Amino acid sequence: MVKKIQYGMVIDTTRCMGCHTCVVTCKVSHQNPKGVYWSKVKTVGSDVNYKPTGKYPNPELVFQPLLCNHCENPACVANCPTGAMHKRADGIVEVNQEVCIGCQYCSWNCPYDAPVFDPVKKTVSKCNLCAERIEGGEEPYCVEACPAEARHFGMISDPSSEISKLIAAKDAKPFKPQYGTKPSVYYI
Amino acid sequence: MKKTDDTLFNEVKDKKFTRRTFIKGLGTITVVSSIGFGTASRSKDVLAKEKKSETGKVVGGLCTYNCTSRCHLKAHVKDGRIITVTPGEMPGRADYANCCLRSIAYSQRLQDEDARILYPMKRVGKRGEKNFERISWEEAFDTIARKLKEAKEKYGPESAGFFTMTGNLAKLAWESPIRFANCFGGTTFDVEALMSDHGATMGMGLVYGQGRGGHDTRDYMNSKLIILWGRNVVDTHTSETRYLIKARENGAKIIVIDPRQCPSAAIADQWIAINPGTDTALALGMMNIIISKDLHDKEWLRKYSCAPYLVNDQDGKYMRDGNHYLIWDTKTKKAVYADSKKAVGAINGEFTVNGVKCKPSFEYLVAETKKYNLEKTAEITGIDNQVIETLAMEYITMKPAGIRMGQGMQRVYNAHSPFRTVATLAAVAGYIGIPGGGASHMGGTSANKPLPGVTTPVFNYEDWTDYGGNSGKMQKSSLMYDMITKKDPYPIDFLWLAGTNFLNQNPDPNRVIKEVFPNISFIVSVDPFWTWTSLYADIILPGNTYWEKWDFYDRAPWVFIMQPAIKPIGESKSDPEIFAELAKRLDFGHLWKKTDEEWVKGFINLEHPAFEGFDWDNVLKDGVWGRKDGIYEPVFAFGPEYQYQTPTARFEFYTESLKEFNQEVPTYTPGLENPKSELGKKYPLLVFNYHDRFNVHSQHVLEESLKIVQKEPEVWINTKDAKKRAINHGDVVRVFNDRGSCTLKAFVTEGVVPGAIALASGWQPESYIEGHHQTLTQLTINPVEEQISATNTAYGDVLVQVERV
Repeated sequence: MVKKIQYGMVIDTTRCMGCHTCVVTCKVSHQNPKGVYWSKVKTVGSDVNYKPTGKYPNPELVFQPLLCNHCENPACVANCPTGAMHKRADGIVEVNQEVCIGCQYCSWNCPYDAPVFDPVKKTVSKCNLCAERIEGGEEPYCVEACPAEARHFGMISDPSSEISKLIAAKDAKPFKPQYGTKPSVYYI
Repeated sequence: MKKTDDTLFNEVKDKKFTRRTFIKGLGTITVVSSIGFGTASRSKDVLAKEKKSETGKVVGGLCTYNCTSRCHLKAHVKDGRIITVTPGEMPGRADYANCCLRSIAYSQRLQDEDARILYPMKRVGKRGEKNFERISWEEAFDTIARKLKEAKEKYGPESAGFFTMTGNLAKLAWESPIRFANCFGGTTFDVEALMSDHGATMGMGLVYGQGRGGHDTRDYMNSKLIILWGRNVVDTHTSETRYLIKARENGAKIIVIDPRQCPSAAIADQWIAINPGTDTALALGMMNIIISKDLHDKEWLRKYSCAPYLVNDQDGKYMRDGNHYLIWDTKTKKAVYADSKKAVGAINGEFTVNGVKCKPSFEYLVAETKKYNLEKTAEITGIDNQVIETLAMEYITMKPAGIRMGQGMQRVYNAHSPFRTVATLAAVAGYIGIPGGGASHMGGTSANKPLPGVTTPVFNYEDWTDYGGNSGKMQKSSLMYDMITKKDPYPIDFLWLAGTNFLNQNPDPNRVIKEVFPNISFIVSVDPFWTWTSLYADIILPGNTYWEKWDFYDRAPWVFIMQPAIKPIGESKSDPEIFAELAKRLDFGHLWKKTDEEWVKGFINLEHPAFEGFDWDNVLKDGVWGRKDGIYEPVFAFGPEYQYQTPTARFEFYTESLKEFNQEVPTYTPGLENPKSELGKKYPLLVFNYHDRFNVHSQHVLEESLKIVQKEPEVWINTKDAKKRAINHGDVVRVFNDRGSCTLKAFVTEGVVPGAIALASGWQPESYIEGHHQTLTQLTINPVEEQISATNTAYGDVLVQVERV
């Protein structure tokens, strides 16, 4: 049996300064309509972005970028009634826009709120890990544009890949692994 | 190739992966390299050379808006539209390609016809109303030329003022209005003071003898401690962030000193919250700790600073014999010339020379620092005693420590003091001009090697600086309001505004609207976008942006050639195109005959070795040229060989000419609007402006894709201050003083110092529920700053009250 391929990402939260370049390049580059963002930056421990936790004079300011985790066992795929949401051979989870009916079961089931409703097309759209760029030998837009070099892209299914070594070296952890979806995005 | 790769290849073959692209796909995964500093980070360079954009043609450009970075950009253009912008490679610096949310989002805003001014317009209503009528370019040119002639006939050519701010720093865009003013004989303004960056230049000038200079951010790999002092690098010099991160991962501690927990604190070890306007007191207090513990670098002070130079106790002047400064030689126990090779100058003590009582200038600095014991420093700065002591001790023991200074701390009355004092702290520690040290202003990244024997200039600017034998008059921007209001020394009857949202970005706009603008018969605003300011113009001309025209930027070791990526939006034109038409009507058309492309191409002097191997076709593909005489390694300023351009030709913390103001050494002065003063009873909170992550001044505000970052202005207020006023997060509040007000939502946070509130700059009146942040600010002329150079607007020296609406 041929080994599975899985692209993934490592995000170093110690490097993230919350600038949102990842979020903005994603929206602009994919030409998403008004209000449709495939990624987010969350201020850790806070309901309000940029509001630190803790007390003056030593409040904590930590950011966590969020995006589709391109899970090995994606809940969105499992709960898609039409088969529009599917996992590609390279591990990327994507939506077939021709098939999607916009029911949003995927969004409700995703632990990461990754699929978003596109009010123009009336379908769901989501991060596709810039599949079109990967095919052309490029990194995803968010990885290329991150001014802090906090994002690393690669083949996490290959234990000898640089990204797998980075996960091991930095003891990077997935976010919300308890949902059992086996996410492919790791955090330092 | 490893066997597994082939297996993988076979599996994905039918997904349109080709062997070649898949191998390249693996090639992108050079993550380990970005952990260490020494190895090249990522593989952007390699990738970019091979790739073809899936979104159409790629055009190289440069972000010329005024954050501190100037990032090489690539526009991805399809069907005449910029789809997106990605980082462009910097030749010789594989790790330096950068872009940020602003340049990406801006590429969309500039293509938004609702935001753009599309045609020349003339005012048909009152100034300030959005009541304009489209006119032809012909009518616009004819009218403006007539107005210029009228002003010239009535009051002389200098009555035509040309004010250009930093809205586009590319050469043609930025310098065209100045060039035109010179050709016409008009007035220009030295704008750094009014915009409030001039305190930094003055402070640097006093001690170093030059306004800019510092350490390449990469040099902080040599630092044990890095202090970002009033400098939010991650938002205002974003391209440098990765090097700070790497320095920290290399073991350096990063401390951010700022009244606001700015995003740079997210990549730092410690945020030290300081009362706005008290940075000078903190630096003096730190010096006091260091000197009183005898930890100052006496050798450095003796060798490179004015410390041993004797000062007359009576008149405060340096002791001189003819042109020679005097020092006290500790070996021969007598006064000798400062340049005596064998002498060892005393930096402490009291001496009598030819019957005159005198002391080394260092004694005067020590006396000033002694006024700032721990208790007093803590009281002024609002920082705990223990934090100050630890800071001072870490600074002097974690050798070397580098300070990156920022303009945040110099938006105060006596604006020359903060940079002057913090740099003096670095001098006392002996950190100036050593790897990993310094007290830097900007990044110090420009560099090229001196080429002995090469006399030909790098750039051909002769035609550009040929004003037909005419010249203009430069006036201080600090005195501009008074000058126009009082018509002294002459009236300004015509005003050209370019690259500036004047009302939005300058102090006290109510005064400008009521007192300044009414004294000007005719105002022209050239801008790509509708702004608050454009509503006060008599004619609005549609300017175009850096993606729509040819332009040029010299940033040694790089030269940027900017070319149009898209067609001009609407009927917009570049600045030289506009001036060429006006020049024709004013009889100096021959000075403006070149097209923008001809100007740009003419600047490059291919005779100079910097351009060895230069090929226009190749260079235009990327839009950037790495000079052959460029230095691409980390550099820093003020090393041991540096010739200080100060009166003493040394690092000069003792300035004779400031004796009359009792500021001969770095001096802390409380703000004009002091919370402890009578005014403080009515208006107890200090307000300061900051530059937010999503905008450079007013140019990015309201761009759709940035609304996830910030969709409206908010006032940062500490939980304590909010509680006193029964203000909850998100409540609508009014911020006010006697000059003005603004109404907006409250951002209640632990991340701002109590007793002060923070307002982001850039927002225009349309985004406020009422008023505007700039109406709170003031322009008060400071005689000390006027003597040094010009008054820097004290945006951070403003008292207000906040109440829930």
